[in-house]
Amino acid sequence: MTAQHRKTAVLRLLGIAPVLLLVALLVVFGLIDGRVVDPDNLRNVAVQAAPIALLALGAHVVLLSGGIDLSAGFAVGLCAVVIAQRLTGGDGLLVALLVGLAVALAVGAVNGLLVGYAKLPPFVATLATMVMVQGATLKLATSGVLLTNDPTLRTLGVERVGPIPVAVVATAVVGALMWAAMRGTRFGIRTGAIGSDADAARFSGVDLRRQQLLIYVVSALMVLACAVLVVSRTPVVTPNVGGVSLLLDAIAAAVIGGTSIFGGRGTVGGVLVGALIIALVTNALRVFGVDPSSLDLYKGTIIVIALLLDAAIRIARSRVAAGVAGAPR
Amino acid sequence: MHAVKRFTALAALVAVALLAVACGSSDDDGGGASTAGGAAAPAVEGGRGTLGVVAIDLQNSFFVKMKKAGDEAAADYGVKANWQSAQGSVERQISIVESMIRQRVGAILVDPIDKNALKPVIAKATAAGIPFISMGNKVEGDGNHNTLYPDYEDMAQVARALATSIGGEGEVGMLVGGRGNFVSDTRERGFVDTLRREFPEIEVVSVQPTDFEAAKATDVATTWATTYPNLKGFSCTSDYLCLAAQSALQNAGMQPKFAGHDGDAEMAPFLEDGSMVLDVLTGGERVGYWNIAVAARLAAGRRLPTDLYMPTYLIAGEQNAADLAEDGLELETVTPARAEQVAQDYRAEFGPDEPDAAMTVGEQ
Repeated sequence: MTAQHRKTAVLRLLGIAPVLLLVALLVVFGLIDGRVVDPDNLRNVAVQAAPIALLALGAHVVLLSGGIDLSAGFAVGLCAVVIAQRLTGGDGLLVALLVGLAVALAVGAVNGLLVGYAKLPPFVATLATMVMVQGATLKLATSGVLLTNDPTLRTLGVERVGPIPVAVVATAVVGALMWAAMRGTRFGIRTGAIGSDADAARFSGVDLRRQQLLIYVVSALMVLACAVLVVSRTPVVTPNVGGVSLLLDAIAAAVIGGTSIFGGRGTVGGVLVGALIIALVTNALRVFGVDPSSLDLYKGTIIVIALLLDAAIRIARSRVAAGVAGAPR
Repeated sequence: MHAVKRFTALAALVAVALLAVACGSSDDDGGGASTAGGAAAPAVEGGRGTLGVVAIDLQNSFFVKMKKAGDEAAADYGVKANWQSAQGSVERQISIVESMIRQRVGAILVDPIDKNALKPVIAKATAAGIPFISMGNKVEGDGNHNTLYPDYEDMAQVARALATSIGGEGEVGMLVGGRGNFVSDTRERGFVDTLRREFPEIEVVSVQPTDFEAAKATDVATTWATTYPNLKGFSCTSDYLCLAAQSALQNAGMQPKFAGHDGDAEMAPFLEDGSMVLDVLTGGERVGYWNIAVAARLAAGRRLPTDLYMPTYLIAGEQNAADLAEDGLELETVTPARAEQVAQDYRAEFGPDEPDAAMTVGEQ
């Protein structure tokens, strides 16, 4: 094997850095406590990763374009409350989902219009809508707790297809659709182009305003998907569902999965693996029985270490790639 | 293109209007706010007829219920309640209180995130002649009042009931709100201390924070199902966490006994069928109405004791209460139906026609 072949092999290996990180964590956590890698627990990890993954896919699209959607976590709460209210009010699932869709699209459209057409910085625009969404949720959630009991939702949240939970299958399907959209459609190509170089994208004919609008609408659709999954898994809906903690998990999953916070780079597969990593870390700390006071400290530390490892792998990859490109042929 | 611009401008206007409705007009606190009656209002409206209420997190379902009945109390007592959310931030909580003092509200109610951090603003409030009420957490401040309920003792009874119902041995878990929250911490201590002290054969295998989120309670419970398959019981610092966990464990084929706190009406079927051993009625609505009633009376110049105690009730199904008694644990309990009646009857308990003495059951 020539030096160049070796470098290419290393490059391929580093290209799957998030997967390597996931495997490393599984090995380390498994050595600390074997219950973490028990098949039943790994199935739990996959299920617990599903809502994070769905929200992270939306975050991935926005981050890819160089933006950020801070309203997404609280929008999950708003959609969940709206859906649960319709269900407990006697409406069918379809009506509840349509109302949830309308709310999600409204939030996405406001974000998209503020960022794309009003030219507000995404951080400021979505921070404002985040507060707005919080307030709207409070206005709606007057009963505090909503109990849902829809059999179809229960199938989504609880049942399995063979050994695989339906929630995981559904998330995989959404992930596959997102992968196809980002790889094979003008929407995906243009989103990445905006994040890489917005001016170049505009000169090449991309309508930035319309594209930004679409991006935040797609993010809102992922918010809705996440809300549906949350309601299906937990029949107890409170106004504080989602929120900052879920948003941070989703953004961390996207970034660990290789999506650049500066835009232009990232993959759907990486995001899904990133969600698994976040869920695994949370789950493992629970299994270890870490003192509740220290849980966030440990979780934050592990995520920082994971991000640093990820960054180191990326630097190594870019160096190897530069070496491959510069090698004599 | 003009249509798009008009639409953008309209959308921006709608967004700003919604923002105003959601948060009240501008203020330095940034927390969500509203007044009784639901109309948009300044974040900290001044005047003696306004009561300032600073919750830790208005998104929490307990505070949602508190606010609902608190607004009814405000209407009954002829005052306005201005609710603010500290969103878990001590600095924000202090900033809101200072703003309320500047606006010279009639009284200030605070659910303290850090009671020691509040002492300077309590001194400022009392110096300004504004009654200051610490909700659910006793603050040894300068002239403030405290509205309290016996969380530690109640959760000790929850621990005894749960332990007795599972035969005094086995693995038990607990779902708490979050470390650093006084109420959650007190309830956790009441439960865990009692088990460790009185039931050495019971092992508390897992105490897990949920950030007061039902979805996280579900995640914890599904993890328990694989890591602690022999779990015989669990308890929660808030009922809705128990509801979520019970559902997840049932889906995993487990049916451990459980016990909780708050006295939510949704728990009645579980209390009746015996799966829920014991609950404690404080009641979000009842607590909200009581606190505003106390504040309104103090704002009107009435004299009340420094520490006021709200009566709580232990709730159990009749069969469960009998079984516990047979096993040697005699508890004074009410039935779920009676508890629901008490929870909804807060006007009769703390309404404006009641004497000041009705605001407390005396020192506990």
